[in-house]
Amino acid sequence: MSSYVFMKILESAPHRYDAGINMLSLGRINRLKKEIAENYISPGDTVLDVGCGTGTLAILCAERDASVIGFDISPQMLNIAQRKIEERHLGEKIELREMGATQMDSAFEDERFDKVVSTLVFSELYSDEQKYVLRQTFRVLKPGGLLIIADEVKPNSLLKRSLYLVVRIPLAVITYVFTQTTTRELREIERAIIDAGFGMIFTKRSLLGSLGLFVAKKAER
Amino acid sequence: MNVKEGFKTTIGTLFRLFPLSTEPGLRAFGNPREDSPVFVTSNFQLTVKRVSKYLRDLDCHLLVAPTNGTNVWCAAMGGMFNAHSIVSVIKTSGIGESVNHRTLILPQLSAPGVDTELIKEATGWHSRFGPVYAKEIPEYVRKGFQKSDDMRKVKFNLMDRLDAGIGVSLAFFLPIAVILAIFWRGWLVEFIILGSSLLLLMYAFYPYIPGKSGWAKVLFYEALAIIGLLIYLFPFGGGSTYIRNLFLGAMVFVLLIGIDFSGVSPLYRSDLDPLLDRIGIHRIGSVSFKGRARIKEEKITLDQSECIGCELCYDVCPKGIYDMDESQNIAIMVKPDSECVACRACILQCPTEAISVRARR
Repeated sequence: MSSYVFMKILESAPHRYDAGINMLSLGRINRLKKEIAENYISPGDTVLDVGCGTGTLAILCAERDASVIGFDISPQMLNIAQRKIEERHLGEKIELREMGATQMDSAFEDERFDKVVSTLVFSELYSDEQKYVLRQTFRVLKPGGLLIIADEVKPNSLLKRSLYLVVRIPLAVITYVFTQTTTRELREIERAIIDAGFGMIFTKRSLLGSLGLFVAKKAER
Repeated sequence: MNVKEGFKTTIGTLFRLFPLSTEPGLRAFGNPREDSPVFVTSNFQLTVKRVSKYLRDLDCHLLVAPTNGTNVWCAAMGGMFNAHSIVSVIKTSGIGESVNHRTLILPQLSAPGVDTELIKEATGWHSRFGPVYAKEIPEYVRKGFQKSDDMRKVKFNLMDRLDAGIGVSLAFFLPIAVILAIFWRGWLVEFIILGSSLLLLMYAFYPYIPGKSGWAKVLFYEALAIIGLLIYLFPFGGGSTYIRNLFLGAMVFVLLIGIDFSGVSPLYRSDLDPLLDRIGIHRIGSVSFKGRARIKEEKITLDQSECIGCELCYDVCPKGIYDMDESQNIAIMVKPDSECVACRACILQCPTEAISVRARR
């Protein structure tokens, strides 16, 4: 059972982020990242990782012979990503940039990428920001390109939601005490993805419904 | 007002120390047209609520910038309200499509954090600083967006002081009250009466208490308590342990209430921040105070030969340190720099770097 409110504490200590996040999700987030790389990334793809953090997914994509650009607003997280990339000699395959999501408009030209991936990022953006990033993602994807998002979502059945709240509320309180911030689970992300012009092709929720995978496609011309 | 809003407002009012966010983005008031003004504020729930109250009767746009749920002054000082947060809300809200001009009106107290040149480079929007208080906005609009000197001044009147005092102190009081309620229930009533009356007393008389810094004022109160205790002990024999404990309790309260007595208003420099900085705490939550805590040892200087008379320093200083010399069209410092609260607004806004900080010798 997982909740990513602790993510905020981990972000303030990036060297523990990878281990912490993986533990919180009982290994599921790493499995999900592997699944994304294996199912959706093909050799030769150009991939953009929005909010790449410590680079786990970017590395998985590069190991499948894709070339990746990852950006993140946190220089500390990027430092760790850089180290991990160097250890694996993937420096030629992955380019890291320190920038925020709202700089996407001037950072990348139209139709540059085959795939855009983003894990545990959207739940940290405010709602207008999510819509903006989706519009920008649509712009930078080639026709036929895929958007793949994995994030914390609000479970859709009442029973699962109650179970989830029982775990989430205490975690949220602890996180708030330490960092005075919290994340919000994604709501109506599917609606926003479609509004940005995409067609949904696949969605999956974890057993308790708190972790979701969304795959959407920009139509061929 | 719905129940959830009301609850949030209550929490925001009583526990000002903790951030409480509301959704960033664009809000419309009245029937805004293409040429209607665009105001900017932070996304602290209480701030947005109070600003909205004064914008209600105007036709205008309000951009709520993402500042991690922290108020304008604290967020600007702590690095949460900056050019980034404003650029982000300009781009994501699509405000550019709703108006035919490119002028933002920022709260004056955001000046310590917002680099307006960066906003212009990134988005083409110009910025100007409006009044300190949202309640002056209707008057500011009526006067054709002209700011009077009075609108530039930070006030700290009785209501503001009580508001700030309650908002800051209650967060300390509540955990103590809970502990007392569990272990020493007998003292709970005394705690509440003594605590709230000292809180009201200390903040109500704030400007009249001798002492320049907040801690000096605290010392004055402690001295009063000690004198009170001595009078009780000697001329009156001081028989009752109960009364003696009340005096000691009062002394502890004065310390608690006054721990950052001068940090609660932009009018004074915090005494607590430099101390925390020295012992290695550079931030509380998302608000960092590293740089400005150190400025206490430094001195602001104005190089008049570099001054181009743009009036920005005069416009943004919350203490009215600067004035304009109309005959030469340059800024002059009309108050001693001991008045300066080290917010650095003038340094950041000065386009020619005529203002700088130097180590005090």
